[in-house]
Amino acid sequence: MDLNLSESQTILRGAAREFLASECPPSLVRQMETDPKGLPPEVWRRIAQMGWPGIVVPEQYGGHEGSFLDLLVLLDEIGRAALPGPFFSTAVLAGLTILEGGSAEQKLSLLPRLCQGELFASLALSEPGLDFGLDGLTTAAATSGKGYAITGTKVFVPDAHLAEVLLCVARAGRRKDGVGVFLVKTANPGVSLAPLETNLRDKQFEVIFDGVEVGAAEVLGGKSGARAWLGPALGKAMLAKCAEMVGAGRRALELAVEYAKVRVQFGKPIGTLQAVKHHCANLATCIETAELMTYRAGWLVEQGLPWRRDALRAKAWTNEACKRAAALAHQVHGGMGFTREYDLYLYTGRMTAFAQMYGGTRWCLDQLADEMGLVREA
Amino acid sequence: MDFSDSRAAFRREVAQWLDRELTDELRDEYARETTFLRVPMAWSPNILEFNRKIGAKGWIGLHWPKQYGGGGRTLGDQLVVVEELAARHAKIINSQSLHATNILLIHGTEEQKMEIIPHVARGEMEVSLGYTEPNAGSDVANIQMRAVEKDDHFVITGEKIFNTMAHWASYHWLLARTDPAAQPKYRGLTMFVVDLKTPGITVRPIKTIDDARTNLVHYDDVRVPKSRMVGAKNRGFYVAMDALGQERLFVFNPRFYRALYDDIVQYIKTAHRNGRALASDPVVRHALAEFDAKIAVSQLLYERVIWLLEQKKPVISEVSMFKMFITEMGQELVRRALDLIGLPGLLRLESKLSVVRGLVAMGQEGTIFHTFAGGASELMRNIIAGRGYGLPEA
Repeated sequence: MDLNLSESQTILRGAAREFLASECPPSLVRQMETDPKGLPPEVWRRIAQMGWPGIVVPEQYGGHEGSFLDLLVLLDEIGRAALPGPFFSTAVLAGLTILEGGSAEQKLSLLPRLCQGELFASLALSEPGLDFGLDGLTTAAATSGKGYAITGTKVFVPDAHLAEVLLCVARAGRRKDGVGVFLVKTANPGVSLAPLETNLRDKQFEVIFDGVEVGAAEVLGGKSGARAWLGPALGKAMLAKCAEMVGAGRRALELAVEYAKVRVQFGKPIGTLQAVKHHCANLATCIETAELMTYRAGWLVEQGLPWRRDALRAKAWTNEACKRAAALAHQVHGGMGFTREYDLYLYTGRMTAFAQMYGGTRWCLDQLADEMGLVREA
Repeated sequence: MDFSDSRAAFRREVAQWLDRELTDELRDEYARETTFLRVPMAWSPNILEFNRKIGAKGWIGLHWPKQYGGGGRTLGDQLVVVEELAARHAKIINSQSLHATNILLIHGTEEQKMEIIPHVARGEMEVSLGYTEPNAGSDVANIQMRAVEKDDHFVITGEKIFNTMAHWASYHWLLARTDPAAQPKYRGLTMFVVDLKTPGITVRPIKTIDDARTNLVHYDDVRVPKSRMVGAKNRGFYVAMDALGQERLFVFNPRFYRALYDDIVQYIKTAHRNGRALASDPVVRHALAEFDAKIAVSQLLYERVIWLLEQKKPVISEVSMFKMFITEMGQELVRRALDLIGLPGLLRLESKLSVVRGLVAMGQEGTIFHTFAGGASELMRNIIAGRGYGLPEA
């Protein structure tokens, strides 16, 4: 085992932390809650200049060709700064999906612009009756003319308002479990967006596809065989979310420990009280273990070793650890942490909301049980 | 970052040897006496013999210098042996002596080292730990056992409690008070390694609720030569602390819980309850998946401590987190497993209807002491908060 980051990862982390500290202070995060776009264009431009959107994209498509762990290191910092905006939807959800499923031609037409920060894209997967995974999709792509007509309702499509292209996951083909991923321009007739109001004030949308026509070439990696490659893409996105949660968790932990040291009650810092100490120890355990699980699974991905079971373990564990950690951080803070002036909610809000995204605990455990060969109820 | 198993080659060697040498009968016997859940009343002749066999193989004290019968290799290699044994429900049974030996190597006299370490390495000698007293549990500094210096010896009087295997051990690893006026109190303690056959020492059994035995060790004006002192006078507390980091890696092992868990899963895959396959029950599926993740967490916490020790970095917070986590997880595992399995989980191995080798039943009581013995969870949390994160002392 070696838990040290490589030299280049240490540099990446330092540069990201420095940039985010100056360009994405908590005041900006708060301001963006009510901003219609979700991130100042100037900040995004600089993010693109640093090459973040293409961090794992091969150089031939205009990316940095970094490793998967590089992406996790970056998302860890993004989580720690609670950076709002389209990084996750564009670089992770769309980027990884295109990388896994796109043809060389599709990659050439999409990825260079994505890496430049010019193309915003997002993934339309969840439905009113489906959070994550590929079973039970109702959105369907029917053969129509020279291409397809897509009909269905998607929810929790992040940053759809910015996206030029949505990667719409739909049932396709003759087989019952056939799945395809279709490139749909949001400007196409038949696509309508409606914002979804969330606690987090992140930019989530309902997207209705009403017989939207897409060309035969606008399907990623074969019209109905997406299951084989989309699973891994979603698994990587799941781990990427873990890293963001770990970063937010680290910050919540730091805030709680700092507060316990300086907050005086009964004539002494509350951090001297064993009950508070134990909250902090439990909080630290949650975050340190989530971090270990996340990076281990990420390392397996990077090494090309089997990683699915460990990714499921990591998300299930990180979900529960972060939910508990968020509650503990608030308990340590008391009333102060309950106010919108104080920064804590920026992190705990993400820790709890993200626990439900891209693999909630129940879903992860169910998949894990399948992996372990436990039979499903008939 | 690197999460690969740098010890894989040696692990294969140990695994192959154990798969050949550890017969099914012996494996069952270890499971019956399950040493990672509890310590039995006495070691069986077969287990004693196998422990000597491990010693003869050179696998006890792999990380100690060769001149004392060790292997001159790394702590990581020694732990491979512990792990592969744990994965088969087995254990180095004279494990307390590993703690004593690690300290002797730093603070012991040449005579003490030669007298004890080679025998420990051969798997034939135990050194029973004598820290706890009726009034000094987690509060080690409050030790009352009195050692009075007189000519060439100390006269020791008092009582130690919960000294596991003191009835089998050859030596007693004794922390006693040499300066009753010292402030703070931990500065008045001295470490001794005492021959348990010395006149005036009485070892009395205490039966425990997990059908095991621990001991009360009574000293009545026991003359202990000064040559039995380990380290300097009144420095015993510091001497004791010198090996606490790695000791905990020998006492609790994630691979034991992984093996137990695999047995539980194996049973559940074949069992039917209430007219349906147990494994198809979503509650069962989720509980098992949850522990699959938790055991993986404990494994990483464990490996992190080894990594830090190899880097010669402080481990106090990390090893405390590991100890707290694995013992709490172990308790939870056997309790939840009992609920999943149902009534058969209550049956001891002797029962013709027992399941999972009766380990779930044994674990109900057997895991209780894990969260307070060898550093209570409360203390572990204090250490994480204080040493790990700098929260102030009261």
